[in-house]
Amino acid sequence: MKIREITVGLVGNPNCGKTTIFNALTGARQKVANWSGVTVEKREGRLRHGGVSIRVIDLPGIYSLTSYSMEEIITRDFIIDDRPDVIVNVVDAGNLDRNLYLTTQLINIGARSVVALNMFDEATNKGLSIDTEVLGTLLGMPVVKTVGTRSIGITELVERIVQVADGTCETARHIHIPFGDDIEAEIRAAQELMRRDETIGRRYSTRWLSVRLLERDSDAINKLKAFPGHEVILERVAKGRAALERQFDDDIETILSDRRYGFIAGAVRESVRKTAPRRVDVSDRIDRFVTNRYLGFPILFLFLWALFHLTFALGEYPMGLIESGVRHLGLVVERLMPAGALKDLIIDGVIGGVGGVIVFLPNILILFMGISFMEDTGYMARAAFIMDRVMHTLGLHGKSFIPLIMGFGCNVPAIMATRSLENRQDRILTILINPFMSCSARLPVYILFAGAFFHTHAGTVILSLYLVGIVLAFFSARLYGMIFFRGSSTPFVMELPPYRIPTLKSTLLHMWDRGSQYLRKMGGIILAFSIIIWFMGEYPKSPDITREYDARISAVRDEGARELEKARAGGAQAESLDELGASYIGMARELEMQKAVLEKRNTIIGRVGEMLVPLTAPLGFNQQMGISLVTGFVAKEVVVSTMGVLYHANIGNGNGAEGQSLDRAIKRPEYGITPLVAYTFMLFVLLYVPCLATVVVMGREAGWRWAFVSLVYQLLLAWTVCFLFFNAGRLLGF
Amino acid sequence: MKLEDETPGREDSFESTDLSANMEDYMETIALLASRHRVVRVKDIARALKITMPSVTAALGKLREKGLIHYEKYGFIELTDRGRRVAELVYRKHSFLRRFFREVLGMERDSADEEACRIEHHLSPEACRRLYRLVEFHDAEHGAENEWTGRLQGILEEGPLSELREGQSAAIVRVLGDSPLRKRLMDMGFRRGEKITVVKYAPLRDPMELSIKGYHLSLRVEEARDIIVRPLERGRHRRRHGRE
Repeated sequence: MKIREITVGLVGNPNCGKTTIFNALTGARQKVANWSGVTVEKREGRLRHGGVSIRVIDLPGIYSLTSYSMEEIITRDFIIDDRPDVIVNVVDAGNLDRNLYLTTQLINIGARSVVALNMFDEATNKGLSIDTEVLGTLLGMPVVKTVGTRSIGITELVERIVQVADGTCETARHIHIPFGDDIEAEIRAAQELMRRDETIGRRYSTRWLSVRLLERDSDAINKLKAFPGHEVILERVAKGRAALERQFDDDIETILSDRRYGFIAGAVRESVRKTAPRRVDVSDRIDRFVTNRYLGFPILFLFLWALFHLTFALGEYPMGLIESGVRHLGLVVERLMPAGALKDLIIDGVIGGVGGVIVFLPNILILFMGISFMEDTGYMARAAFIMDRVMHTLGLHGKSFIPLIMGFGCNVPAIMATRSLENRQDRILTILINPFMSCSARLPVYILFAGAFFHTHAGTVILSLYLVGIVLAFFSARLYGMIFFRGSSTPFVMELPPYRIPTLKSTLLHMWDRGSQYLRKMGGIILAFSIIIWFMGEYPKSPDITREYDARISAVRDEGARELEKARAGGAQAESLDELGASYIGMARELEMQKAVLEKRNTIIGRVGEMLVPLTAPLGFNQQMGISLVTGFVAKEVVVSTMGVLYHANIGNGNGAEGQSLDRAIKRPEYGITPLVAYTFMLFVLLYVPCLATVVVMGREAGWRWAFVSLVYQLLLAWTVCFLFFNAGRLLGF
Repeated sequence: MKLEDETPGREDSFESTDLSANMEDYMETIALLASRHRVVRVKDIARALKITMPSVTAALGKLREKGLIHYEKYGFIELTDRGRRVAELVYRKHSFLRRFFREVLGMERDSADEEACRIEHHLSPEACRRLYRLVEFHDAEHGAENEWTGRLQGILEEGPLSELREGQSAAIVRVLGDSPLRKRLMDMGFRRGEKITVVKYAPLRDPMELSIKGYHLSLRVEEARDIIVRPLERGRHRRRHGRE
């Protein structure tokens, strides 16, 4: 038997359980891409039914097929231009009144459809009994009862899809939504004119086009303008519209939507019976607490606290495992491979880079488990409902709140979490200000500097940095809003769906989806970049310096040993022997440090750091600080480890014979770091470029143009703020 | 300023009193107090108008000069014949204006009284006469159960959705403007006559949760201003309550 392929588009209102139907149809055989040119997700899956291979495309959730939003345009263009064999119109059985509105438009467009009457179990619980035969006949398309979460009715749905595609389904027939004599006359008049040009009819349904033209649909008008002779048609339609509006004393959109709803009311009356009085709504009861005036906020903060802790505290264990795994792998390679440049590349560049990529994975998986839970239960909409008042003053949406809070843990999963924002503008704005939420990778820098320079006030200083971040986030949101999104505040029309119990399957699929996307789409780029930056931090090598300093260091050591021997032979006291030993160790360490600085200076990054001296000096930063800021682009915690190398000190509380701890090293007066410089430095770390991974995620989620805008803006802001702060501080005598 | 019992306005002539708004208020108060108590004292007037006794005394002096009252220092106050005519005129004006606000415009009792107080002194005799006839006409038509008075009440009740209280229901009249929002709302079932309920306001009073066509959605208060509705049961209940 020959395998045929048919294409099926899934269409439905938001919250009608479209995704559960998609998952039930295709299982894990999905791939996710973006619709060309926009960042609306396009999901595609496949299934086999007998000799038919079915390609399923999940279209964005929409209420109507007008051209109000990106999602609507995408769906409509897909139906019209890609001409899928069958449309599966997923409908919430508990809310036919509203859901069937989209169905009337599918009828109008002339798409061959199957209705999946989803969540009919909930409808039954509500006391609704729906006659699918009658409804199907009225709509002219087969109606199948389904429960997506439990895969009920899916087999029948697939059978119907194939029947409709084959043209063997008896229920499927082309019907018209009756608009009433006066309007029908206008539609016919327009159709009449269109039939003069055969090409129009071949490309579009003339009835659909006429109705859309009557409704002043700009997209339909543009479509028509591709044909010669469109002026006559448009003129006729405009005249007809004006007459109708005068006659009914209302605008045409209202008149037409009234007719559609009239049709729906009729269909519902014929096919739905209320078998039992409606019971008390569980969702209302839950909402009595969850969006309560006094309890709403405490409950929200409890949820967020739990989400944050799960993501970042629980996530720490697998992260620790990953880190030690990477280290062990490094050690194994260390033992197996001969020394040389290739070995360095593999251990520090590749293995280190891979570690840097997968280290985010536990966070991403746990966060998306939580977010998926919040979205599937319906709590996410409530959180947005509660927070919108606050977020709206910043030009943001209620739903921006959760990604922003998650930013305090790590900006990478937080930016990925902005996907719950349907509106592109809200999403981009939320992504752009996310780096100002001081992530946990910046904390080591704060701890080092605040601990070294502010002792007992370290906590207050660190808190002040977080607050500065928040304030500047708000400021930047306003500024971005003014520059890029002027005057267009998006309306807050958000459904508050009934509470539902999430299924493990959908949660796992969601996690899997995000995790694999991260690895595939971002992992590669992050890895490539980190190898490049590692290379820039190591090369070119400076063998002359290394050789020279190694010789000098061993000379000092030898001399020290000889002197010590001499002194011991001369019967010196133990104390003075120690002193002597310490002074040679100090000299050797000083040389080690000079060597490290010189070596680093000679590398590409070092040279960049040196080139930047004119920029970093006005902020009071010394050269080591400048270089570590450059390396800190990979990840903010690298700032600390670079400083460890440059000051040749142990990070943490190492106080072995070799070297000293970093917090004491940076305090030595000869490096010129005052508390003012230290604070300025922390400020700079807070504000300057988000880490490499964040930039990549930004580029992937918002587009590279926005990633670039953010990069430039943050550098400028960081420098300006630090410059002002440092000089003001100096004037005040700090 | 409140006058308890209404004297039905038999006449529709409202000649000018030539008194300032203040003085008219005094005359009205004195007439009212005189109808309730045997005697009227400065103290009573001060209390009724919420002003100090010395100011009352000063005003009474002026009224006496105009020959509207009999008043001796520390004595009782009595209206002269002319004074009684003026007071009756002011009083009539006030009561029909109150009826206008309450019966024709359908406002609550207290605010109708307040509004009457606010405009009664500023209307010309001509405007008074015309308004008076409107009230009488409306009264007659309303009694005859003419359909238009009910429709007028409905239209007067219309207001933005954002002004409803928690738990209140209303029928949608129209969605204003020509924004994409309007289109979206129409797609979501916001059509004329559809019942909509304000389930609650968010903890910070914005946005609001609405229930329509069996589902819930949220809208910002600012956006709800463009949705014109006519309150159902609860609104009428509120007004009935106000009258008791």
